[in-house]
Amino acid sequence: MKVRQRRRFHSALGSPRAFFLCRYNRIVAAVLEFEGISKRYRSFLGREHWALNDFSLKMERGEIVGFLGPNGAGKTTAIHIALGLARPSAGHGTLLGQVFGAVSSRRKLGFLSETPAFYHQTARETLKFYGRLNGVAEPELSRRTGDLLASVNLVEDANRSIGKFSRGMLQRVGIAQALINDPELLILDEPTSALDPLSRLKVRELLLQHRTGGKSIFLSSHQLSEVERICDRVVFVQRGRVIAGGRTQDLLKESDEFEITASGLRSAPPETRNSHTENGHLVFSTTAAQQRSAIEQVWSAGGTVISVVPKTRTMEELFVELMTNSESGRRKPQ
Amino acid sequence: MIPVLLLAKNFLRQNRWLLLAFAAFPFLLGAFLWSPHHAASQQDVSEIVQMEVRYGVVVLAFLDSSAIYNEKRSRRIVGVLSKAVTREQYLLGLLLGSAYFAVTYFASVAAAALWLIGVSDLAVGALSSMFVRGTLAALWTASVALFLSTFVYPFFAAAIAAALAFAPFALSHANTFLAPVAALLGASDSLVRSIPISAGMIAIAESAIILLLAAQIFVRRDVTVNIE
Repeated sequence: MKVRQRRRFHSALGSPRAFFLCRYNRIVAAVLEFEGISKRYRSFLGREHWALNDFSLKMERGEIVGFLGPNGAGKTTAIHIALGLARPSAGHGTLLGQVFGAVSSRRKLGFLSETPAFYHQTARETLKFYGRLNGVAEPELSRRTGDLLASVNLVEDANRSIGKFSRGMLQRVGIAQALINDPELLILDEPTSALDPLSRLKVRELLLQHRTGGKSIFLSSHQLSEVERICDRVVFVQRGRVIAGGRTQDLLKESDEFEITASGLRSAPPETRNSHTENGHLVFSTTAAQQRSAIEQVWSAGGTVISVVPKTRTMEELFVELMTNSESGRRKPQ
Repeated sequence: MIPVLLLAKNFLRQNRWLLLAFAAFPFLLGAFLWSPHHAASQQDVSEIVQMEVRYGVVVLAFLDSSAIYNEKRSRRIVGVLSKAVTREQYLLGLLLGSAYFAVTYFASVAAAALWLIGVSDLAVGALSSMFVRGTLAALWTASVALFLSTFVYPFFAAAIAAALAFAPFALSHANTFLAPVAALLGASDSLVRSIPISAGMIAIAESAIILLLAAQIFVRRDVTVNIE
């Protein structure tokens, strides 16, 4: 390869590796991939801060991936790099089969920022403005605008200036503008933080509906119960690195234990553990192998089995556990 | 092209009150000279127009130098550049918005001057020339300010752009390539009919080149700050 051609090749795609990653992702349909991304911020006085440190992550088509981490973990930085709003200090990645920052991939993307900020115009004009920027033309644009305003309960306020909107209303406009181009990938940074429970429910339905159409959603959120409900996969990030990740069900499944709630008993059957009373009912744990005998013992003692549920952790418990372990691991002397 | 037009329209919309104030300014200033009995002297009007043209150029420098900074600070730039908009289109949109601003302002300056000296072939010709020269000078200064604002704090970008535009006025002879604004606006009488075609072409070509350079720098800059 001639020197000039090689230079052009390198400047367009970062490196030959990025080029092949890009081609590979078009074939195997990874919608979002970070590979060894690092991002360094340097203050005026030369002090360095690494927002991302060798960050790698891959997201498949049709998934809803939850992106969790404490404040300052690098979640927003990672999203901004994927969108081409910030440049990585090292590493590379692809978005919808294109290197980060490519306009053609952004055309098929919907994005809601953590702090949505819009020009002062009506909600309807705002949706049309962002739709046009993404190449959506009339009459499709007007149809989608109307549908989305209805989906986020803003029909009555559609012709009011956005400057007079509450934070929750702005967030709903933000969700609508992210969906205006019917995106293949939706990247949402704290989409429901300012919403009331009803609006949150509505947005959750909207996201699940979007996924049903084969679209992918990358959801960064501190609303852990929400992530638990809708995400197929969860990735935990701390100090700019992925510290854990996997299918939501697998991560939340604590062991092969079951929790049995029974009434009409004075004490828990033998060989069961963690018995305690909750709302007048006896609650105890047992393994999958002993579950049948435990239930039979409840019945033979004249009790009633109220529920048998697999023992799981909540996302909050998992989050706290992972973050605490990661933090204490970091503090251990070498 | 649609994103460029949308962004230009938005820029103008954002600055609509400033534009309205500046469009009214020549008429308010003209009201001091206006008399129902006789037309104002051409010499007085020429001096006022010259001053107004220079104000326009400086205002455009300040407006363009702070455009990116303001959008970053309000975080609206994130919403726009996360859509299918290139950095080149973004800058071109801002510059086109400035061009609309300049056209409106200089048209208002010309209309106010015509109101004062009365409509005549001579006046229309001279004010048309002023309109073209002023708009091109403002566009060149705005593109320099926009270019500088991609890597310099907005106030310094505006100050440097204005200095680059007006410092050559102090020289007895300035190179047109280095100082197209001086070549466009340098005549002592602002109401001259001729348009320095070569200076105009140079201003347009240099504005385009400066914009391309600005895009090359802007594409390498982060448009977000680390907010976590």
